[in-house]
Amino acid sequence: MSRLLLARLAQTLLTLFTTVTFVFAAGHLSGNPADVILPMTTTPAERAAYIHLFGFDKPLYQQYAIYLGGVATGNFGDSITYRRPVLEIIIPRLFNTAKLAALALLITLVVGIPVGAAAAVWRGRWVDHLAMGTAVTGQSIPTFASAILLISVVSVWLRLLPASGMESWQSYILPAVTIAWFMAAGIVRLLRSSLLDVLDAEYIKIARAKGLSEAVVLWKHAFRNATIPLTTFVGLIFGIILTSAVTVEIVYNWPGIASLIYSSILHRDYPLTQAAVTATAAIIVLLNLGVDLLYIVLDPRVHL
Amino acid sequence: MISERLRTWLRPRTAPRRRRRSAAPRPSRRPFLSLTWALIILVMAIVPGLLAPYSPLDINPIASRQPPAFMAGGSWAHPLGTDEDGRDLLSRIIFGTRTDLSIVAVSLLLGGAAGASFGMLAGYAGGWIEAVTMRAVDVSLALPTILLALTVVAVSGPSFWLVVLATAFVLWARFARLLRGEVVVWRERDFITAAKAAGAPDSRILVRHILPNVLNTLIVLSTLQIGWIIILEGSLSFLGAGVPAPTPSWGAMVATGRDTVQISWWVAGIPALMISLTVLASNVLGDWLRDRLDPRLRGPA
Repeated sequence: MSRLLLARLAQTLLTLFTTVTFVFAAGHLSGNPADVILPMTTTPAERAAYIHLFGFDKPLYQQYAIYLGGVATGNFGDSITYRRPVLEIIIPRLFNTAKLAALALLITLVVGIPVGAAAAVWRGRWVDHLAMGTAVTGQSIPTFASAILLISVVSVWLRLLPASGMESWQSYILPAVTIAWFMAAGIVRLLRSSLLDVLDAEYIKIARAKGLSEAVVLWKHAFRNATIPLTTFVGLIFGIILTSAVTVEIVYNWPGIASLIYSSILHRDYPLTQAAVTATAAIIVLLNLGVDLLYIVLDPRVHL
Repeated sequence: MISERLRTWLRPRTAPRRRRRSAAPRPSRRPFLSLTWALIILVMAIVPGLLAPYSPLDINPIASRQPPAFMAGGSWAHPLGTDEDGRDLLSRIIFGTRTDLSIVAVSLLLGGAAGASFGMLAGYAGGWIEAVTMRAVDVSLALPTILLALTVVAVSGPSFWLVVLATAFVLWARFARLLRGEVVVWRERDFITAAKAAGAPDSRILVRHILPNVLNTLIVLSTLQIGWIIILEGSLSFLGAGVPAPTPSWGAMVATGRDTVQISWWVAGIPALMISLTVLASNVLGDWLRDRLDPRLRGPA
C-alpha cells in the first residue's frame, strides 16, 4: 500500500462523511424534521407520539449517532409514503438509473471520441467547424431544455420513439441521447484541444518522419497521450451524469433514483430523501475513487 | 500588357497545403454577436422596467397562452405571447434576466472571492494551509451539489440565497484549485524573492505583486463559469428549488411551460432559447478571452 493510495482512500472517507453529515444537518437545519413531515392538521398528541417514535425528541448528537449507525449498517428506516424499508425502494431505482447512465456513457464515448479526433485531424475544415459548432451548441442547451425539444420533435411530431417510461428498449434511446449529447460535447472539445497539442509534439514529427502511416501516428502515438487530460473529465463524469439525470428522469418519467429523490421531496418523505441522497452520493464518490485507481493502473508515471 | 498586380491576381490560387499543424493559435476575431448579446442581456437586467411592456406578475386569464406575434393568431400586444396565466412572456423574460444575472453576479462575487483568496493563500503559504485547503476543495467538488440543494429546499423551502450558496459552494472550489496552481508558479519568480528580500510583508506581496498577475486568469475563469451558473440555476428552478414563484427566472419559466409544450411550445421554448443563447454567448466570450488573455488556461475549467 502506498501513501498515495492511502491518502486517496482517506479523502474518499472524508467526502462520504461530509455528505452524510450534510444530509443530516439539512434535515435538522430548521428545527424538528417532524414539522416538515407531518401535515398541518396533526394534533399535538399525534405529533408528540410521532416525534417519539422516530426519535426526534432525543438530543441532536444522539440522533446523529443513530443516523450514522444506520448509514453504516444500511438501515435507513421506513419510507413514509411507501411504508416499506427505504432500501427496498431505493435499490431497483438505482439500477434503472445505472442502466440509463451506462448507455449514455457508451453513446458519449462512441460518438465523442471519433468526432473529437476528426475535428483535430481536419482542423479548420468543414468537419472541424461542424463538430465544434454542434459541440458548443450542445454544451449551451441545458438537458431539461434539450429533453423537451427531443420529446416534441421525435415523440410528438415524428412519433418515432416513446416519450416516457421504460417499457421497451426504445424508451431508453431518448433519455440516454439527452444525457449523452451534453457530455459528448465536452469530450469533443477537450479531445480536440488535447490532440492538437499532442500532434504538435516532437515525437509525433519523428513518428511521421519514420514514415509511419497517419492512422498509426494518430491512434497509436498521439491518442494515448491526448486522453490523459480526458481523465479529469472522466473524474467529473458521474457527477455530470447525475446532475443531468435529475432533470432527464423527471422529463421522461424515468423510474430512476433521481426522480425518486424528487418525488420524495415533493411528498415530504424525509427518511426516503435522506437515504436516497446519501446512497447516490456514496455511489458517486466510490465511482470516482474507482476511476482514480484505474488511472493509477493506466498511467505508468503514477507509481503505487 | 498585363500589369504585375493583375498577373498576380489572375494566377490560379493554389492554397499551399498546410503540413504543419501550427501550435500558435490564429488571432481570434472579436465575437461581435456574443458581445452584442451580452450587452442586450446586461441592459435588460439593469433597467427591466424601461423595456418591459407589462409587469411580469400581471395575471390576465382571458389572454392565456397567446402565441407570439410572428405566429398565426399572435398579436403585437404580446410580442412573445403569454403563458398559462396570461402573463406577458416578453416582460417575464426581461425581468427574468435580472434574476438570472443577479444569481450569476452574486455567486461569482462570493464564490470567486472566497475561492481566489483561499487558493492564493494556499499556493503562497504552502505547507499545512495548502494541504487542508486542497482537501477541502476535493471534497467540495465531489459532493453532489444539486441533490444537497434539493435536500435543503425540502426542509427550508426555496430561496434566492439558497441558489447562490449552492452555486458559490462549487465555484469557490473551482477558483481555489486554479488560483493555487497559478500562485505556486508565480511564488518562485525572482521579483517575488526580491520583494521578500526588501522586507515587504506577505499581505503586500500577495495583493500588490501576485494578484495583478493572476487577474487575467480570474477574469477568464469567471467568464467561463457564467454559462454553467445559468444552467445550474435553470436546473434548480426547473426542479422547484430555484428562486421561488412568482419571481420570473428563465428556468422557472421553462418548468411552467413544460406540461403544455405540445399545445403552446413558446411558453417553455422561448425561455429555453434565452438560456441557450446566453450560455452560448458566454462560452464563446470566455473562449475568446482565454485565447487573448490567458492562452495557458486550457482544458475543463
